[in-house]
Amino acid sequence: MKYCYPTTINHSVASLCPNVLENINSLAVREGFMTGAPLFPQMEIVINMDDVEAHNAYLVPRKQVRSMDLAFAISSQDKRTKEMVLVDLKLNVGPSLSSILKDELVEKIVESRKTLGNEVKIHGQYIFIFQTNLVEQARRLFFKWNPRLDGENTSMDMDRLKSTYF
Amino acid sequence: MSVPQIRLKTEGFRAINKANIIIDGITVVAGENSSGKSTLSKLLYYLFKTASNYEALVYDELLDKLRNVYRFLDTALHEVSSFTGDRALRDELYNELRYLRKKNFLLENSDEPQAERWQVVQERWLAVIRRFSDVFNQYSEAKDKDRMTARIKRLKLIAADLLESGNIEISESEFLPFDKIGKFVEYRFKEAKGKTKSRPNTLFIEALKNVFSGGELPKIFEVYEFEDPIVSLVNDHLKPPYSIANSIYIDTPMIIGVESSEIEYWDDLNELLNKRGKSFFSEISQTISNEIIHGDVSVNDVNSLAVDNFSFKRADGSIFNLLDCATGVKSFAILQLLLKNGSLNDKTLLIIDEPESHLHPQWIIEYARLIVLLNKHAGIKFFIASHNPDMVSAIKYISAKEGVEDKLHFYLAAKIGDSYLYDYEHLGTEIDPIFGSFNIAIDRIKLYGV
Repeated sequence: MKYCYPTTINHSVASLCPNVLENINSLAVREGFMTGAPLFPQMEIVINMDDVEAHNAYLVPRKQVRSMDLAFAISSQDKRTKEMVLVDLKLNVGPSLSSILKDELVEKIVESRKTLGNEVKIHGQYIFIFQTNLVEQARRLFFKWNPRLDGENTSMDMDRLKSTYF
Repeated sequence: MSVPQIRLKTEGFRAINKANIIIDGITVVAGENSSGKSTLSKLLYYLFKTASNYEALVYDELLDKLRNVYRFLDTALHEVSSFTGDRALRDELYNELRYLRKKNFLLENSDEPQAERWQVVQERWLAVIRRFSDVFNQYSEAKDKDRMTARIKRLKLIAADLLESGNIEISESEFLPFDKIGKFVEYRFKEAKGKTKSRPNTLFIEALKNVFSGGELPKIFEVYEFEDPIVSLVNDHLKPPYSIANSIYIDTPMIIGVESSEIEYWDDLNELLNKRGKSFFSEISQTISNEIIHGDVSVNDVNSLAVDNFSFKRADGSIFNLLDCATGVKSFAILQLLLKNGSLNDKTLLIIDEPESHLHPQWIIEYARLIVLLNKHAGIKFFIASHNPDMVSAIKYISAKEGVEDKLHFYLAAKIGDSYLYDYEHLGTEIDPIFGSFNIAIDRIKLYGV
């Protein structure tokens, strides 16, 4: 399944919260991705989940909780199957992974799932993006946290995110 | 990048296709089983053992070549006992003989320049032979002529046998040929002294042939110190290294207390562990005692009544035979004993295969921390082969925190196609490719698990 623009921009979260749709390049650069030319020349639009959470917390009002950084929709070739992919950008982490806490990641996933609701099925893998030289270490860390097969947390770098979903 | 202290380049040896390994501080190699990591460990160990102890090894070889002279003199001593009741004379000759076989005889004269100390030892051998000659000449007119003649005949045949290896003949009419035996000893000393000057690499090659069955040698084996070639199998020369004066190889903590093995580096290590000496890094030894094993390891006094060599005194005062303690404790005990007896210093290369073996994950991190601290504060150089993600990441990130990351070198043995050969890729301070290799295990669990 690959990126699906209409499902992304028409998700109710994006419709209800103003200004949460953003070009993935600018969001990634703000979160620490360093690149010369934009990695995504098509300027694909994603939902900024931090902005969604800020908006929702303001409306209630309540204290903000942790959330994944972005979400976008993917669909099968025939457009019948659609899912929302949750992504968190860990590009500023380093030099080691010691600052990554399991509870914080779990909170991000749980809260972002609540935010997206059941409107579109949520993709089974939660994606965490690292600088390339930390991807395998993160994979090991996730396996240590939750040594189950096909664990839900997947580590990859930006290039792999692009090749997998775009 | 600064000039590396030591660089080992080897190609075409067992599973190693190509390896170009820098030893500057802490070097860590990772790779599958049978990728040649232990081969590299042994190459390094025997290289530095040979190059750094060249003179002592030549002396060992000389003693071996003089083995038959010693046996001849020992036999002669028994004959002396049979025809004289002079106990003082027998004791004197016995003590002289024993002294000649002492392995550290040469080192006892280490304050002298090299040529002089060899001369001192040679003179001692010749003096003992002269003394035996005098004694036999004095008693050749013994009362019991017939018995004496038979004994002299036997000694002559033994002498003829040992002199044959030096192509020296003795005539029928000759009495015991002590002068020719003296010449034989002089010749062997001359040969050994020449070796210490020209330093041919035969000792190293012999060591390799003994360690690796099959007798094959690496196609390329070159060692550089500050990029200056010091060892090469092509150029028959083994320059003494400056940066590394002793190498220690630990492949299992189970080695502690093994009295005698067929494995040379085990015996070498046990000899070191039993050594007495003064430590210069007691703070690190204290760290092991207070923060990790919560106890103290020591070698028992040779005169004590203790049956066993090593003791572990736990923090609560209980004392145990170290050999009965947990294997993990032994891993740290080896480091502590080496620290306590001054075997570790800035000219030491400590080679450890899989230091994580037998350790609880928490102690794996503590061990990694010790490696970094020993490198930082004592200047000890390490060559580590590891299969453990925690060990690898702890060495990297603790080194970064302690400010010694610039002397850190990681290598990954990368398989070449479907062959059984590996190239050692230099990763610098990056460890993610090593984790990529470790993570194959996760894929295998997925493949085989439910």
